[in-house]
Amino acid sequence: MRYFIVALLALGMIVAANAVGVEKVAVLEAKAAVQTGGQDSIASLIINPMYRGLQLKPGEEEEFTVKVKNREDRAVELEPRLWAMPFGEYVLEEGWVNISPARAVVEKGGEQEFTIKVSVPADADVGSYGAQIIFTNETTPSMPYPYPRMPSALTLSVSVWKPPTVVVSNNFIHDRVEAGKTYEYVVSVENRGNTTIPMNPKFGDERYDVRCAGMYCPGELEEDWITITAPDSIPPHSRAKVRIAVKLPEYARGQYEGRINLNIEDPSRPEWRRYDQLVTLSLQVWQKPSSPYEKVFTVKDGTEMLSVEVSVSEFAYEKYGTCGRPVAEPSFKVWFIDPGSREVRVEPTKTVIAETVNLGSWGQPPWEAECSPGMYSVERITFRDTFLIENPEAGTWHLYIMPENAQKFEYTIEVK
Amino acid sequence: MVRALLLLLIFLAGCTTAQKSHISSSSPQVQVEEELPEFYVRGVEIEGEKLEEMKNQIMRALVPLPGVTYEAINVTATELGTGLNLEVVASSRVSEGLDIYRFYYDPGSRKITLKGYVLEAIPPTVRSKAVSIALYSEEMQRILSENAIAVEPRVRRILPETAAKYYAPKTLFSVTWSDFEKRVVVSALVDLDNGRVVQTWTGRG
Repeated sequence: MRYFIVALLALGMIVAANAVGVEKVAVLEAKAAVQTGGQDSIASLIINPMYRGLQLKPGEEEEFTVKVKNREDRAVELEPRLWAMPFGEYVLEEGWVNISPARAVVEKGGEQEFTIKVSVPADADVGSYGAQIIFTNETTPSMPYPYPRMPSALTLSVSVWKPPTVVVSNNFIHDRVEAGKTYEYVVSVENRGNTTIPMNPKFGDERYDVRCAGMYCPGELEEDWITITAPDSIPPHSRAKVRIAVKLPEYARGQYEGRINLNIEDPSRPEWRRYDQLVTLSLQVWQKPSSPYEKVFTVKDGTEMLSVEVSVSEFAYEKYGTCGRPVAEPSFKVWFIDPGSREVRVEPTKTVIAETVNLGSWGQPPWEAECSPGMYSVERITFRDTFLIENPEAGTWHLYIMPENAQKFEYTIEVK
Repeated sequence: MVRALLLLLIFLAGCTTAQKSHISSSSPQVQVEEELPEFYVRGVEIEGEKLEEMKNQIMRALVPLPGVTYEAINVTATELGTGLNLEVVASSRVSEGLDIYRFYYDPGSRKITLKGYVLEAIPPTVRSKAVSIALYSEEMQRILSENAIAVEPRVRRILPETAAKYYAPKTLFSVTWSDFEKRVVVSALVDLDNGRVVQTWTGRG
């Protein structure tokens, strides 16, 4: 009864493989799925390697060897062949794989080497192909899996690929922008193929969206902020420009991200692999505040010195927009209102520029590291101004800070 | 994602700071002569014949990419041992990137020696071609795909003396993707003449 169930499951597996629309199913022998005996009768074989993954282009071939060691105390007859797996994108066709020798008897404790040659036809579709190479007809019932498992098998995976016909440059755009203004970014798309390729860029694509969760996530760019201008096709051996205009509303604030799917039907890319056609927009919106930041504090009698230090710090990547376009340096205006309601404007008594400098050794390939010893990269820049007021009047003081080109700033008030 | 352009941009940040310095710095500054390219020296004071000799040597030692003309050359001289460290920043109108050279001036022989360089004064068309060749390579496709890297690459020119150790004594281009979030850097050494990637490198931090 158990054998009957296994046979039914195996038949189901073949039906399932066909049901997913795969025409290139290896020819399977039904008898291979019938268990030849109980668990005790399964030959003890060591297959080495048990998995092999190949990356081949249409028309290419590759050869490798697999060793099968017989740990039985009897001779075992091996007859390797392909066995379709009931999962994966495509099933490896039998005609693509040549196994030599086709049959071998391995004596007790002996070892047999097989040569596996995989030849991908020139007209093969791009995709992932898989199968097992089984060495005996033995199977094991394998609950909870709804199909029999082959105990003596090598899993073979062949990824058939082609170089992209379409090359997209500048698919990551980062910039610091101002609310209420419009910015244009250009993405270049090159068609290296011999046929015209359709293109239909669209804002957003949920298939590739990785949703950020949490309070520090950037906001999402809204579709009606974006205007995309692009041709609907790219002629062979030519470049096309996709112009992305982003019109930021006056109310835009903070960090925004969004994605544009170029929707290019690259014949060398399966649809699931077209994530490199995504253009990511990462925009940091700076909006000039309409009023200064205000801090009210108290100065006690006998205070000799009021010291206020204001600093703004930024990473170098915040300092520069896309393609090295410089962004204005951050600055700030500082003034006070004293207890007598008089405005007090003082020049900074000390100005500090501090930088974090990196030799950048880990991020350099050897041919760059070798030619640039002692070259420095600025990672972080800090601008700090100190304002001093001697013998400040006791009472309530107001500190005002008006930032310019700065997303955030810090200050300290010291009275002594 | 935002941090992905860090290396390229921080480098530009440093370079631009150096370039601006001759305008606003109060440190000693000598304008050598009025001719193209503009040539400025700051830092340790160098005068007279020594300055002229050093300038001539520097001008002979600079190797802009064919088609690129330097518009301005800024030299910052600092003391190093008994000699001078000369950081030379050369800018061109055809590229936003800068070429930076570091020389050592030996007062004994009165000669300069090239000690290092970072060359990014590359016209956009050449840069784009180098990136395209790198992206077209099968190996880079695999490496970029495996590491799921989708950031903007930087491109640097590698001089023949360095390139000889990795491929051949000819000018090559280093196309490097730095993903600081994933702490992965991948690079392709590109031969523009033959349109192929001659070396690849992957680094993890």
